[in-house]
Amino acid sequence: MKKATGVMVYLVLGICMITCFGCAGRKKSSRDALLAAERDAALSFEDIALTDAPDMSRFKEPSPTLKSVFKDIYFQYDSSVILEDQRNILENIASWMKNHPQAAILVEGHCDERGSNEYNLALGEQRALSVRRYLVTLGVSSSRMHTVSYGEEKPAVSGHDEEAWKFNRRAHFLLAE
Amino acid sequence: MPKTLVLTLLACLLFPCIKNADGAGVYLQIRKQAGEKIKIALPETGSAAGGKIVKTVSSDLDLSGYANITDREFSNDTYKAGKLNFPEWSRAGAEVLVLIETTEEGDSITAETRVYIVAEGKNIFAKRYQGPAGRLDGISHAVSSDILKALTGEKGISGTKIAFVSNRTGTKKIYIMDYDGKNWRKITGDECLELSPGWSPDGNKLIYTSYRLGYPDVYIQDLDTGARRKLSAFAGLNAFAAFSPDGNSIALVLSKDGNPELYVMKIDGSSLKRLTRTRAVESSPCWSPDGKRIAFVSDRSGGPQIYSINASGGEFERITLSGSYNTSPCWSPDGRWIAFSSKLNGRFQVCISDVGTKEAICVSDGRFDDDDPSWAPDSRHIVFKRTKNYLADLYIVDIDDGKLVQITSDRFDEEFPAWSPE
Repeated sequence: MKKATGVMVYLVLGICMITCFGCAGRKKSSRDALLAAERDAALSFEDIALTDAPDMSRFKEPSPTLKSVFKDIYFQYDSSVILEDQRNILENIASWMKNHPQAAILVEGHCDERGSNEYNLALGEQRALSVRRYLVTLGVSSSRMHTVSYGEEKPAVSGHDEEAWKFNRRAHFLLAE
Repeated sequence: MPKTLVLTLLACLLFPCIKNADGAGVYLQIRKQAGEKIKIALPETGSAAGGKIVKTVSSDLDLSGYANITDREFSNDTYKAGKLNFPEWSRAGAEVLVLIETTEEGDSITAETRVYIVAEGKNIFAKRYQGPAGRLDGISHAVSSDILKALTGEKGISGTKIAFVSNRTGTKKIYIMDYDGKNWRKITGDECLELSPGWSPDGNKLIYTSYRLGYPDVYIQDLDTGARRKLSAFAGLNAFAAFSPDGNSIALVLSKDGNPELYVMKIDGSSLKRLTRTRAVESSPCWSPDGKRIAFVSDRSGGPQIYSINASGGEFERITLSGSYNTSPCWSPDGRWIAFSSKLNGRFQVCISDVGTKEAICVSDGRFDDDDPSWAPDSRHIVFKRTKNYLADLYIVDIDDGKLVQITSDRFDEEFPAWSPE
């Protein structure tokens, strides 16, 4: 209920911003405001508290067969929004999790090398939490999902261009069965 | 001033402050208002150890921003023990004469320092320093601090340290060094990722994020004893801890409630209070020197911007009014400025925002990527990270005269600099 109301408020706000700023000819501001509103609406309002994580040594890389389920999730620059083309990966993960009720996952959040290391550490955590939130909406219990952020400190691919960056802005999964 | 810095005070001060300045500080204040630097002559001494001390003191006085070292090619004939030829020094362009005489006995070095105002032929400061020959830099920085104190009334930055992160061993680890880039010391023997060091106001402790248990947790460590304690290890992110100016509280970012948010707690871990409730990322808190406000980063408007909030909570106030990517705030100790990093024309630059007017000035030139500014206790110097050809090194800039000095230079990355208090 509360969540739905929140989304409504932001949709209304978004429309209002288009109307107000659009006619004033401030296209960029209205687009920015709309993006911000969308971004806010895309994320749930409510806290989903983290539960204490098990010893990290319990989490392993998924087996080669499970790698086809636990694929990395990629993000746009400076964003933790789950992109539409990444959603089917999360749906596959959610169904696997439902069939394996004892399993827990560790979601690693990562960033590309651009920008502040500190901000990227927080952004990496938000990416991991964004994945966790999405899986919660697909019915996976939040207590089975833990997060760790490495920010820009552990790139998957070395290199200093978009070809490397796009593979470094990711959420990566480890599994405890 | 951290106890560890006071190594020289273990040096027995046989004649502590024979004389001290009266009016000399004022003398220099007048010069400073005119934007001029005081011309100091610092002649070489005979011994090798003395030469090293003179070199470091000379570099300290130069880096302080208050002084210019006049041509060091003075003939030692100008000074002969007991006979100070002030007209000669005056003709050579010196306004202040610093004499450092060293004697070595076994492993012990004694450096007798005297400061004269050349025009008046007046001795305004004299002190004898003693310490082990292996700690010449420590002795030199203590000499420089006292000279600056005698001339300006302020200790300056000569005795300060910088905590930072380097990956020189293959893992990002926290080190402490002298402010001029020398005498590195690793603070832990761990082989794990360590980030974001911050100083306690008394300079005796560091607070930092370490992955030693796999997850990012916040630790507090006593620098003298090496003893450390886990301060914050909630589920998720525990990071960017910053001491309040009174040393009693910590601001930090936790994600335990499901999103990175700003919190404050007492240093014993009690009285945890959440200050933000957003769907955005919050990071990098930094206290105002009066302890009333906290500047931090939030991307609630779409991209990261600097905001401030009451330390007890409340409304956000936006600090950065232009640019799409502003991060890494650091409040100057005099309260006047907030330094931050701003993306301008595709490059990151270190800028300072006037707390009163919110007008920002950039203090780096935009040729490279500059980030992570941290103020010196003099509110005049900033240490920051410059990334050049994908390698990060630390630099110091004097915001009054724009002078830039590179203090680390290697094949590795140095970053997250944090300047110690006095």
